[in-house]
Amino acid sequence: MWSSAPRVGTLVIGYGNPGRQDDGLGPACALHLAALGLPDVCVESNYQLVVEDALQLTGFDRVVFVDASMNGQAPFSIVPVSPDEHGPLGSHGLSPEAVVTLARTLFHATADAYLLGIRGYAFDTFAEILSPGAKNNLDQALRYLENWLRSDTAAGARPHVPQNSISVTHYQCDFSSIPGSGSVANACTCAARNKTKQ
Amino acid sequence: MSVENPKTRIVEIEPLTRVEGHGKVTVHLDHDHNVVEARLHIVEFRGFERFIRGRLLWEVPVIVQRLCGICPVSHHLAAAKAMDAIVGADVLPPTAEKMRRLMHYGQIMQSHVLHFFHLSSPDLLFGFGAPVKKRNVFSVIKEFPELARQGVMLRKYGQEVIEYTAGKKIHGTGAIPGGINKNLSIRERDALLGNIERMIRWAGGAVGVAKDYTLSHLPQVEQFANFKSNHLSLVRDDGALDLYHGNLRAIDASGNIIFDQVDYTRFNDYLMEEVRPWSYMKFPFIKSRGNLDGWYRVGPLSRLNNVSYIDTPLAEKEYRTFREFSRRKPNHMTLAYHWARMIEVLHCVEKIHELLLDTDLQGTDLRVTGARREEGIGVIEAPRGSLFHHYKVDEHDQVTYCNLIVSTTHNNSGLNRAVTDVARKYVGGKKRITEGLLNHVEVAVRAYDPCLSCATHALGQMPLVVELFDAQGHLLHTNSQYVDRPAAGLKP
Repeated sequence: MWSSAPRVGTLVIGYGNPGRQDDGLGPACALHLAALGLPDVCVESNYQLVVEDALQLTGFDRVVFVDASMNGQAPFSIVPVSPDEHGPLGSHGLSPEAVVTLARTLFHATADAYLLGIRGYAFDTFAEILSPGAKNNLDQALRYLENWLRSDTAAGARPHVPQNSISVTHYQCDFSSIPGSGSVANACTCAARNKTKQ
Repeated sequence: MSVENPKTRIVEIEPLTRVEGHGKVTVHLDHDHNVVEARLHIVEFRGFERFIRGRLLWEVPVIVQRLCGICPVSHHLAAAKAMDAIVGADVLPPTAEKMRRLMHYGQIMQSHVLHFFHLSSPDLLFGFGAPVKKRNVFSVIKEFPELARQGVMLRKYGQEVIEYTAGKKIHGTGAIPGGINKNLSIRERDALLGNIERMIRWAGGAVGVAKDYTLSHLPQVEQFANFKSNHLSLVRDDGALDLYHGNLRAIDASGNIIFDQVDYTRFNDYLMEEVRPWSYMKFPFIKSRGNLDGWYRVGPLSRLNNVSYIDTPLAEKEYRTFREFSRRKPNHMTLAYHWARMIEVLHCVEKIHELLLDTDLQGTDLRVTGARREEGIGVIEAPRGSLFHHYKVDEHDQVTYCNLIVSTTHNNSGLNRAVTDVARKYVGGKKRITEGLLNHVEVAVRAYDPCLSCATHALGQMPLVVELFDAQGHLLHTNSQYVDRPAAGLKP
């Protein structure tokens, strides 16, 4: 029951509450990314990170956490995630650092981990809609993420992008616009997930 | 930070860590550093009732899960029960009710397990005043790795139960007005049965950990936020513990019945909510006892104080020990919430086992309707206590009224009493508030497992800060328990 599954592919976890305006940036990113059906990319969505995500990390080479950022760089920023035993631990939501630490200490997972923070601006009202600025930031983050995952997947290579904290102020890419956020979906039906279960 | 009275000083603890959402504790001290009063301020967003207005009744059980990322299943089921009344579904088909119960037991066990193993166990295993670097789940992993792994796997099991019954791990659609939209397949049943024996064994072990802690730390447990109160919960018609459905029972601090077998749709006849100017959250109380004496607690401790017995054998055995410990009188010790919580986990796992062996779960009669009503009330025992959903729907199936009383609101007075009690014992008289002393206040709040998750969880939230001011409002000391990570991409 404790053994690790074969490690393959990338796990993307978008988290936040879509009912809280821009707090839904993570799930919105997950929703759109899942629709792309990228090979060896498994997409999950949740209200927050939870302890069993640590177990899930055992099946992947790489994990990308996607969250809304209240005060980070616009349009988005990305940073490697390192284990941190002394970081904050919410009552039911974990930090990415905590998930990575749990995964390594409890289940010997060694996935490379990154945190993609998409800047949001409106968080204080119950409404299932992203602010215009957040939607624009989401578009750019999605283009960046798709390019990164496609290039890595095609090459089968280790991630070449963020070795250190980087902030992206503008990401130019000629992709069509991403539609507005919709409902959250768990979309982990991809080949990568299936491989881990074999 | 403000000083309300020049003769007092105020210590603010904001926000609470390992408590969901945002919360702030203010401790009011006089010139001699004695605690005058302590208050728990919860940033409760009341916008949800407005958000839900205009929604179609069919989507309400799904959309209410947006309210809380912690216990969405509880809101899902409470809303579904309210909508059952509106569509005239007074008695659900056995398959529908049992599927909902299975979902509910999975939700409660995973919520309780997470709270105990990963949030409270560091306090219990290492002590409330242990160095903060040691008092976290990672130290538990190092020193008690099997316990930590069992916590993860028990929770994962509960999540699987939810996924199989609600259709998804999150934002499930299983419960619909009048029933359920799927049954449990043989494959799903067998997958869950395959691990049930181990779950029962681990749940029993968890009860042992909580019980042993309580009995081996009696002096501390007995003086830590141990205060008399009334208790409220649903009970089955024969008085048994029933987390999904029943009638309201309230007892006083001595265990005498205040009211019993009250149809929960009449809760407005028995309960009132008081507004206080310093808090967004209301203070409910039992009408017949008035606002000063009628406040009550809910949740695992109150449920076990209230019920007459538990209808699963292993949990019933533990329940008897629990009741004998307080000589069958109500147990008022805040820290006994942990013990009660683990007995409920064992009960839930036993009920899951019982349901998995019931062929009704493979039935195909999933939904019923009857005479349409304009109003519906659904009540359920959520992990943290009684959860009330009340709706009115117009002829176009649109919600025109919504009122929710969540478990943490029911416990509002109890939480404030607990904070005051602990602050007086551990903070009063101290010129300098250390992190260890601060943690005592948090331990008291955490025991109730309050859910403040209406707040957002985005990057960049503030760390826990304690500020100590003198009577003139000068900052004497700042204590920060954790330094939150910087927002992604920013240098520290």
